[in-house]
Amino acid sequence: MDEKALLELKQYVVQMNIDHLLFGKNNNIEKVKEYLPRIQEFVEWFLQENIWGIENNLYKEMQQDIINILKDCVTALKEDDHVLMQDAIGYGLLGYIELFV
Amino acid sequence: MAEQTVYQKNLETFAKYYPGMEKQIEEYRVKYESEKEKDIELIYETKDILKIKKDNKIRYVTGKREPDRPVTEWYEYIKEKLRKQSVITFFGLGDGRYLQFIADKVDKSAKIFIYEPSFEIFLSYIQRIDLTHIMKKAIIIFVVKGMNDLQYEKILQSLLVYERLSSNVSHVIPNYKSLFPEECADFLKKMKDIEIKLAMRHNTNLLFSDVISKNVLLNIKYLLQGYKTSQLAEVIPRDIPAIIVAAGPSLNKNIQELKRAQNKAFIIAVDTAIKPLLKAGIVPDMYAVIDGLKPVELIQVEGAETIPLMTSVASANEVLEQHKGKKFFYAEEYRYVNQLFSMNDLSFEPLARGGSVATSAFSLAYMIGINIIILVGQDLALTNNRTHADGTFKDKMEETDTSNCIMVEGNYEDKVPTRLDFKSFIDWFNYYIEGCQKRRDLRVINATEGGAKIQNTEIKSLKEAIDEVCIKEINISECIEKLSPVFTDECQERTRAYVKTMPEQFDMIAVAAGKIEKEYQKLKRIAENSKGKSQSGIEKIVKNVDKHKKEMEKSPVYQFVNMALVNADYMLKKEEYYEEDTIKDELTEIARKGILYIKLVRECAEMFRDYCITEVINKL
Repeated sequence: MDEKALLELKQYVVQMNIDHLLFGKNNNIEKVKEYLPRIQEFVEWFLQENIWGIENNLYKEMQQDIINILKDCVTALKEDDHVLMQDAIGYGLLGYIELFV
Repeated sequence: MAEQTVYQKNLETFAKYYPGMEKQIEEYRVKYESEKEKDIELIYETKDILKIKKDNKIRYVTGKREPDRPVTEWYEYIKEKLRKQSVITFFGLGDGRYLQFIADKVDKSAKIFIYEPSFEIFLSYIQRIDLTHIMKKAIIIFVVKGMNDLQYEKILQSLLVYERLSSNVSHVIPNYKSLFPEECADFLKKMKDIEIKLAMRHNTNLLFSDVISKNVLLNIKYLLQGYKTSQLAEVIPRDIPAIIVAAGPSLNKNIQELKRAQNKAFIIAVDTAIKPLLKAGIVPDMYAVIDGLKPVELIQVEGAETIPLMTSVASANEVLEQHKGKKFFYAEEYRYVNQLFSMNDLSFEPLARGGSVATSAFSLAYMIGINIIILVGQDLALTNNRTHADGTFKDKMEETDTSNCIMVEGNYEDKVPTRLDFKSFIDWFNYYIEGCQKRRDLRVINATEGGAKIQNTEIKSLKEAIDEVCIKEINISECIEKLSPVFTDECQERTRAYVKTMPEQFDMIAVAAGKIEKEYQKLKRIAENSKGKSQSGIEKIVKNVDKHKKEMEKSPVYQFVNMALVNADYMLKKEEYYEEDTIKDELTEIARKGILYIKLVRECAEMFRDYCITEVINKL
C-alpha cells in the first residue's frame, strides 16, 4: 500500500471521528461501508507479512488485535452501533494506520 | 444498622437540592419495577463499560477500548465556549461519563440539564454513582421521561438566555439518536424552537428599540380619546361569526366571496389586507395595525381612515395620525400607559398577541366572546411561492425562491414551504386554539383555501363557510357607534395635567444617572489606586449605585429610556459573561461599563425631556 493511499485512509478516518464525536453525525457506519475496500486493503497488507521487521511476538499480538478490530466492525454493522464503530476504527485501526503515516 | 446504599444516599442528595424529587423518584421506581415488560436492558461488560439492549440490538454507550476518550475529545472541542453561567444540555445520561467530566470542569454557576429518555438508565446511574460530589459542582437538573418530564421545555426556556446562547453547549450522548430516535428528534426540535423564539424576540426588540418609545409618547394623545378592545364585547353580538382576513397569497382566490359576508359577520382585516379588500369593494368592520414600523403607504387607501382601528399604543405614529376613526387599544407592558388608566381608576384589559397582527386579531375575536371564527388569507406559508396577496406590497406579487424554506403540513397539500416567523405563528395558533377550545365551544374554520395547516380547525372553502354560518343580518357599524371613549372629559383633563409633568420625571432620571456616574468614577479610582483591596469602599459604592438605580427605576417614564437603550443593554449584558483575570481588572471593567451605560441613560433621559416638551405636551 503506498503512502498516498495510507494518507488518504488516515484523513478519511480522522474526518469520520470528528463528524461523529464533535458534530454528532450518525453516519460513520455508512462511511465505513463506503471505504471498506480501502480498509480491507490496509488490513490485508498489514497481515500478509511482517514487512517492517517488528518483533515477532509483538507482531502476532498486533495481528490478533487487528482481527479483533475487524470483528468489532462487523458487530457494529450488525448492531447498528455507531459508538463501537467509532471505537474500533477511530481508537483501534487509526493507531495502526498512524504507524505508517 | 445496615449501610446506606448509593441509591438511598442519592435520594437524600436530591431531597437537599430539589425537595420532593426523592419521593418522585422512589414512587416512580416502585411503579416502574412492578411493570413486567421492559423495553430496555442494561449490560455491563465490565464495571464501567455499558451496553444497552433495545429493539434486539446491543449498542455501547461511550465505547469499548477507550470509553473516556470521546468525553475528553468532546471537552477539548467545546471548552473555549464555556463561560460563567453556561448552560450545558445533554440528551441522555448514558453511563454518566459526560456529566461527571463536565461537572468537574465548569464554573459553579453553570447549569447542566440532562434529559434522559429511559428511567432504567437513570435508575441504574443513581444506584451506582454517588452524586454528592458532582451536585456541588454546578446546578444539575435531571429530567426523566415519564417521571418528571411534563412541560420540560418550560425548564429549558427558563435556563436559556439569548445573550448567553453562544456560550451554551448541547450534546446528544453517542448512540442515543439510534436508541431513542423519536425522543431525540423531539428534544432537538424543542431546543431549536426555544432558540428561534429567543432570537426572534431579541431581533424584534432591536428592530423596534428606536421607535417604540417614540411611538408610545406620540400616541398618548390618541389613547386619551380612544377606546378599549374589551368594550367591543359590550356591543358586538356573540351569535355571529368573526372573519379574520389576512393578506396571504390565497386571498386572491376568494376575496370576492367576502362581499356576501358583509353585515353577516364581524369582519376584521389584518393591516395589509385592507388595501385589496377596499379595492374589491369590501368594507371590513375593523382593521388591525400593531406594527411599530408599518409604512403608512401599505394601508393608505381611500375609505380606510374612518374604519374602526384595532391598534397598539406602540404602533407607527404615522398610521394613527392619518386614521380619523375610532381607535381601539389594549393593555401592554408599557408602565406609563397603564398608569394613565390606573390613576383614573379605569381598567385596561390585555390581549393575547401571539407575535403578529393576525394572531392578535384572532384573540380579539375570541376575547369578545365570538364562538365561530373564520380564517381567510391566513396562509402562513409561501403558497405558489408568494408571501402575500396581490395588491398588498405590489399590485402583482412576484414569486420568491422557496428552496431554502422549511416545509410544514398543508391544508390541501402534504407539505408547503414556510418561513420561521410564519412557523412560530402556526405554533401559536395550534397552542392557542387548543386552549380556547378547552375553555368553551369554539369553532375555527380555516377558509384560506391553501397554505399551512392549523390544528383544530375545520378546512372549508369560504363559500361553504359563509353559506353555513353567515346567516343573521347585523349592522356592525351601528353597534360600534354606541360606544363612548374610555376617558371621560374629566379623566382626560386630569391625565393631560399628569402627562405635562413628564419632563420633570425625565429630569429626575437624568439627575439620578449623574449620581450613579460619580459612584462609578469613584470605583474606577479605587481599582486604579488600591488594587481592588478597599472592600468597605466598594461596598459603599455598590450600595449607593443600587439606591440611585432604584430611584430611577421607580419612575414610570424610566421604561422609555430602557427601551431606547436595548442595543447598549444587549452589548453590555453579553460582556457580563466574560470574566477578567484579576479583581483589579474586574473592577476597572465594571466601572468602565457602568460609566458607559449610565452616561447613555442620562443623555437619553435629557433627550426625551426635550422631545416631550416640543412633540408631546405641546400637541396634546
